Amino acid sequence: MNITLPEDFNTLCSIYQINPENLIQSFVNEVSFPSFYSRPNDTDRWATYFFLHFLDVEETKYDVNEDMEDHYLRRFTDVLKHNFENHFDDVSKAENDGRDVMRQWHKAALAERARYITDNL
Amino acid sequence: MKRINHNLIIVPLEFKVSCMIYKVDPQEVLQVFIDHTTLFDSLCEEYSEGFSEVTRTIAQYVRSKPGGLKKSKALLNCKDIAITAIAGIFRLAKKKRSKVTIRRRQSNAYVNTIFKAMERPHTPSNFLYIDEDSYLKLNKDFCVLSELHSCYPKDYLEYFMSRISAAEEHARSAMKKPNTNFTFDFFMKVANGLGRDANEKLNLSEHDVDFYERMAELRLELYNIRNLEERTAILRDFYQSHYQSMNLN
Repeated sequence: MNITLPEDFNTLCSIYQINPENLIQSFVNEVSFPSFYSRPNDTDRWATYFFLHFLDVEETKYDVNEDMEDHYLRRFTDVLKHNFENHFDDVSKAENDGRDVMRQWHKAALAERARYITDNL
Repeated sequence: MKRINHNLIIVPLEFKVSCMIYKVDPQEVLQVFIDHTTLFDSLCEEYSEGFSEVTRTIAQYVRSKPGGLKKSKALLNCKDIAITAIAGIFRLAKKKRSKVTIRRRQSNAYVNTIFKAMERPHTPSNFLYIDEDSYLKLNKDFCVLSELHSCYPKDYLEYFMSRISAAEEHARSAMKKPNTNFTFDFFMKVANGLGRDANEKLNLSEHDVDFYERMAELRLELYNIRNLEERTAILRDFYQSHYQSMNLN
């Protein structure tokens, strides 16, 4: 990974003596739809907010299959809703079930990409 | 039988809420709408900021009116005068060589002629009351256009307000749906200062700041809701509850 560290970021890391790698690691650790949507009251939501903001501003530049996105995000939301209504106390279950849907989405997206390549052979 | 009061305008909650979000006064927005209504721009194909959106909104209302257009009674006795004057405005609208602002001003003379000659069954007063203390000033263009289409001024204004929903626009733009609501474009222009003194410093209370922060978060959070109506409904509830809490404070 090769990224440019701008001055303001560098200054802060230097003042607080934070290793930029550690900070970026802790940031990416918190980017998660399953955690974000299953724990609306937690305080570790900022990284995912940033991700959503990034999508809001930049999504048109990235190629995503919108029908697939709709399908899996609907399922994801339904699964969390179901958990919220039936297993209110078990937040980890909601998070894990949500993660399962994300994995399925991931798999479907990769399969579609592979198909796109093989179809052109 | 209860008589319908054509001189009292009903301001929908959603419009009030949208005004609250953008910190504009509903009365001021309506006045700017009236001030941008002209016969000239109804006939002119060139775009003029504010004027074009407003006259297109009115045209859309007139076209969508159930039962279609009624013959104007106001102009029955001055048909020839009206036809000559409208033809004059039409000529100005087509004359692309001179400046739009100059031609719009020149059209005033024609509008005056119709205004003087016509009867005013739908616009008996130059004022329209919003509540007991505040009123809107109707100009001649607005009155003539109302009479031409046999509409009450409040019909135009209520239609305008019915097309303003911050919740729907926010949901739509987040979902990257194309914006087709030119009436809302006009509203945003007014929010950004069109036709009013927008240099006043905004005073945001702590309650306001909390609201705008939460609004920004919620608009991002709703990414997983893939249905426009559902997203709109969630934002609408949130905006309305803030509006109600403001009015309780």
